[in-house]
Amino acid sequence: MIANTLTIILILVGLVFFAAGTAGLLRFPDVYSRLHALTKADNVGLGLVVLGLMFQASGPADILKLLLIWVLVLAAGTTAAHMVAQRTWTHGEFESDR
Amino acid sequence: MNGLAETLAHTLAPGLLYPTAGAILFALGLYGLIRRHHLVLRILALNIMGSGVFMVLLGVAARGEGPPDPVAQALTLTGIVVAVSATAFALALVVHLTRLTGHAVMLPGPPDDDVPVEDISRETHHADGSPADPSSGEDRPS
Amino acid sequence: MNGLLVLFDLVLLAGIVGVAWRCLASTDLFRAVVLFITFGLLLALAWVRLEAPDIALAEAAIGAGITGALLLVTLERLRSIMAERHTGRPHTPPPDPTGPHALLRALHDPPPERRTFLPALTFALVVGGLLVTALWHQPQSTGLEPVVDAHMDVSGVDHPITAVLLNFRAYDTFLELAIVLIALLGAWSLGRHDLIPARPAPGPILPGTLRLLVPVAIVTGVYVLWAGSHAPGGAFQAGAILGAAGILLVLARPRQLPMAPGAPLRLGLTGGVALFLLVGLYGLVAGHGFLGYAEAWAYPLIILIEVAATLSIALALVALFVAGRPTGDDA
Repeated sequence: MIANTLTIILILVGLVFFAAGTAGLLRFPDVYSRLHALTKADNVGLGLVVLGLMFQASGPADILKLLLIWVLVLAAGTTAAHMVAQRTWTHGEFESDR
Repeated sequence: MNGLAETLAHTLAPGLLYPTAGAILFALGLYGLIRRHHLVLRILALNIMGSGVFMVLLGVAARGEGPPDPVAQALTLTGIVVAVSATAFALALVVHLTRLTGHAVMLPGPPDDDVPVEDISRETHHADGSPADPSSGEDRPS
Repeated sequence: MNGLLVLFDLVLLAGIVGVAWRCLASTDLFRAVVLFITFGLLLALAWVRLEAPDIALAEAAIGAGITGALLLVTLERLRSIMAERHTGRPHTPPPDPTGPHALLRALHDPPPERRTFLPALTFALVVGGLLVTALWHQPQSTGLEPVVDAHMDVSGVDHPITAVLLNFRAYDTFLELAIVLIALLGAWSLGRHDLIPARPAPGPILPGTLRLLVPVAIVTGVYVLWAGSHAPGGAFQAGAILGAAGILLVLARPRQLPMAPGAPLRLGLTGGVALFLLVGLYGLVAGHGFLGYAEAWAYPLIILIEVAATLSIALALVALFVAGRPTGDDA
C-alpha cells in the first residue's frame, strides 16, 4: 500500500518535470535554451519515474535493470545534447529550424 | 440508455479502436503518397501505410479475452524487419537517382531548361507524352 | 473497460495520426524525418498497449532507431550530392546553412499542387472507408492463439512468438532473412560506398561515450537474444541493438574505421540464411519436413539459428547504412 502510494507520487512528480521540459522545448527561443530545458527536466523526470517503478519491482534484478535504463538514457542524452549544441555552435542554427 | 453505453464500450474497445486508427493511417499514407513529390517523402508515406497495416494486425490480434494472437504478432515482427530492408534499398536508389539526375523529385510535366543534359527524366516525360504543366515546373529544385 | 484507459487510447491514437499527418504535410524533409522518428516511438507505445512487447521492442529499435538513422544519413547524402553538383567540386562539405538558399532547397519539397487535392482526397477516403467498414464487420474469432498454445510443448521454447517465428512458421522467418540479404545485394549493386558525409563532433565526448556504450550494447543484445526463448526478445531485436551499436561506431569515426575484410563479412551476412537452409534441408532428409525439427533438437537448433540470424541482421543493417559495396574488395 505504501509502495503503491510512493509509486504514484513519484511518477506524478516525474511527469511534472516531463511537462515542464516539453513546455520549454516548445516555447524557448533558441537551440541552447531548448536543450537546457529538455535535458535537465527529462533526466530528473525519468529518474523519478524509474524510482517510482522500483517500488513495483519483483526483485533486485528488476531494480538493477531499471537503474541501467536510467543510466543509459543519461549517457545517451548527455552525448546527444552535447553534439547538437556543438553542431549549432560551429554551423549556426538550421535555417529550417523555425 | 444502457444499450448506448454498451455500444460505446464496444466501439472504444482496443480491438476495434486500434484497427480503425490503422485504417486511418493507411489512408493518410496513401494520400501523402499520391500528393507529395519528393521520393524520400513518398518512402515515408509508404512506411506510414505499413505501420497502419501493422496496427490493424495487432489490434485484431488483441481482440477477445485471452492473450493476443502470437501468429499475428510474429507476422508483424517479420513485417517490420522487411519494411526496414525495403526502406534502406529504396533510399539507396534515391541517392543513386540523385547522383545521376541531380534531384530526387518526381514531378509531372517537363523539367526546366537549366536542368543538366543527362537528366533522364526528360526522356521519360517525353516518352509517355504527359502534358506540360508550367505551374509545377517552377517548383523544381535545381 | 476502463474510462482512463479509453482516454489514453484516444489521446495516443490522436497523437499518432497527428504526427503522421504533420510528417507528410511537411515541406522540410529534415522536419519530416524527425516527425517520422517520433511517429515510430509513439507506435512502440501503442504496441505495448496492445500487449505486444516484442513488437514494441522491434519498433523502437528498428522502426524508429535504425530507419531514422537511415533516413538522416540519406538526407545528408542528398545534401552533399546537391552541393557537389552545384559547385562542380567533388567532396564539398555540406553547405553552410547560412549560405545560398538554392543549396538547401534540395531538402525541401514544395507543397503539392492544388489540382491533385480532390482526387487524392477522394481516393484515400474511399479506401479508408472501405477498410474501416470491413474491419467493423469482421466476424469474431479466437485467432490462432489456442492452436499455438496447444503445441507449445513441442516447440522447444517457452515464448509463443519465438515458437511461431522459428518453429511453426519458420518459412516466414527464413524468407525474411533472405529479403534482408536481397535488399543489401540490391544496395551493393548500385556501386561502391562513398564516405558517409557526416562529420563526427570533435572532442572526446562521443568516442568516450561510445567506449562505454558499445560493450553495454553487446551485452544487452546477447541478453535479449537469450531472453527470446522464454520472454519478449529474440533474434530481430538483438540484431537491431547490435546493428545500432555498429552504426554508432561507423558514425563516430567514418574515416578511421578499418576496412571490413570481404570474406568474413560476406560469410557473416549470409550465415543466417545459409544455416537456416541447412537446418531446413536436414529436416527434409530426416523426415520432419522442410524446416521441421526433431522435438528433442528443437531448442538447440533454434538457438543456433537465432545466433546466426542475429549476426546476419546486425551486419546487414550496418552494411545497409553504409550502403554500397565495400571498397578495395573485388572478389
